[in-house]
Amino acid sequence: MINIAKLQEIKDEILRSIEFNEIKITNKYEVRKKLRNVDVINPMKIEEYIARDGYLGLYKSLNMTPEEVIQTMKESGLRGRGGAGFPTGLKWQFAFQAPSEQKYIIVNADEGIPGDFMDRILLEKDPHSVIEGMMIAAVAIGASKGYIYLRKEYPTAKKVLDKALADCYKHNILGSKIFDTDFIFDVEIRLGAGAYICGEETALIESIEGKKGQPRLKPPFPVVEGLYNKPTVVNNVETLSIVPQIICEGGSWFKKIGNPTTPGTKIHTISGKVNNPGYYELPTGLPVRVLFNDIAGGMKPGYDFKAVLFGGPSGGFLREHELFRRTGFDTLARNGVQMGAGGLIFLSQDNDIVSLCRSFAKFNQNESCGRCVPCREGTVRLHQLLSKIEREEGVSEDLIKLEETAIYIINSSFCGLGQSAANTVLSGLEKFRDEFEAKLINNRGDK
Amino acid sequence: MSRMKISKNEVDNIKSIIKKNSNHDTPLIEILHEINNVYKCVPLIASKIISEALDISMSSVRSTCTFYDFFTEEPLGDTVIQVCEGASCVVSGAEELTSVLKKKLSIDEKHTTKDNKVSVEIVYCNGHCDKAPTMKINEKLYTDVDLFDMGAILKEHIE
Repeated sequence: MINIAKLQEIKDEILRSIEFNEIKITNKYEVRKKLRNVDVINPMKIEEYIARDGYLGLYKSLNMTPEEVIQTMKESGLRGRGGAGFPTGLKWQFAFQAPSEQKYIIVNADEGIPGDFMDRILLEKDPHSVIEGMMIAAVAIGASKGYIYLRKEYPTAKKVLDKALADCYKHNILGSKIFDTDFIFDVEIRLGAGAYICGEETALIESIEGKKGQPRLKPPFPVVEGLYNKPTVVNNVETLSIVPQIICEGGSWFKKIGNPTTPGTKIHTISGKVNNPGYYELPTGLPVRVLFNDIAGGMKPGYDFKAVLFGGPSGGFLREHELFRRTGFDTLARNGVQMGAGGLIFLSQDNDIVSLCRSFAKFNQNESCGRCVPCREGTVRLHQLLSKIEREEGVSEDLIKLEETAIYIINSSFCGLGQSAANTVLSGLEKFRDEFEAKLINNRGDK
Repeated sequence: MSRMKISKNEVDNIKSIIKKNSNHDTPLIEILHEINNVYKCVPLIASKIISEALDISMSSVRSTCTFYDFFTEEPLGDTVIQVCEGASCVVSGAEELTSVLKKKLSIDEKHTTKDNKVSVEIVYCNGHCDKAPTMKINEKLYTDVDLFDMGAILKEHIE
């Protein structure tokens, strides 16, 4: 039976034998809140997580009313880190208020946006913080069952999670009578099968229900009618990973960090031809230039900066003179550039924008679920037009068609995938139009 | 159509996979995962058995099966090469890896060499974007792959 004395006992025993080495930070910007256990503890040992005050947040939440838990989350200002930025406390409140005997929590671990891998890091290196966050959400809304929808591309995360869940059952952190209360909670892992659209919460729910991952019409939102038509909270991995600390430290602790409209920290994953690709937790509100110069360490020798791509194949480009913009859901959300889930891909002058846009169009064409016409047919058309221009067979009318098609897809698609499928094309046309025009037949000068 | 022939034993095996997964509320995808793991594809006969066992239409089973990239109705080769063409990998030259690979193995977009030994698949994001480009061969991950590396990696698995 787990109780507070037992937690303390485990903690004392570990601390007698292990001295944790905190990760040294070599610049003045990084913080390690969500990453506090990453590369510090052995993720396969629940005892080491407990020694770092693990499951204390769950214990505290069980001694609070659901309203108090939700109030703390609202005070923290935490917004969902999967890309949409919806206030987490409010989401929980809606599910709490929805009347139902059965409610569900789902961890969205279907991190599929190319360029993003912060969730993989958390799941592989600190799985219990996510499980604990999920359990606190369950306490808040009154759920007794949780699912972790994990993409199959992450076999290591699967292994680590299997062990973490088994350890939770062994210590009676999962199961019934948790911390000697009447709280019951069980968790099941469901593996994805390689469909990017299943990162969309209603498509994910369809997939857990054993169907094709095609998004549902909203409303009703999942907090009212989700999995098996019961109230369901779907939260992203990174979002849940910080919940235990918010409960332990209080809402205002989190709120004080970062940009006031997107409080807290964001884990950014950095890729491309820069000196220090990797993952970094930073307070929100930093200029992108800091991420480029101080975190990514500038371009590798031999490569010149061209642009940074936010949001992978559905995002937008920032050029040199736009790097003053600050990270955050509202501060970046302009002209198709969104913070998304926090991945930054740095492009060098060797990268051809038309060819990248064509590759991203192929991705979106492949990942379209096929349900609505604008996305299903539009992404195909986009790919055809971009291929034609890339092959230097396009004429100036093709650029007009390209723009029209892009706007048509964005305005009339059913879900977020279609609505953002043409972002990179529009961003490319706006910011690198000369590269498109240079490939047109009438502009090449030889014909 | 699947080239796979199924014996009585295998029919029983498929049935036991279905039974094993039937403790889930909605087991279809779990069943497809396991069958795909065992047979390296989901043969039509398996879809038929699933449809009867779960009392759902054959078209539901097959449309779900073909919706997900991980399931395939055609058996893949013994060696499955997955080249990531996610954004970070493309920025770092993944498309060149794919085209060289396909030329070398003389296969086109779909998928498998004539002798059914090697399949090449395009996948989107293995989640190791800081070490792009990446590829997996029979689930083994390779990072920071360039054309030179790829030659050596291939030698390890085929020939």
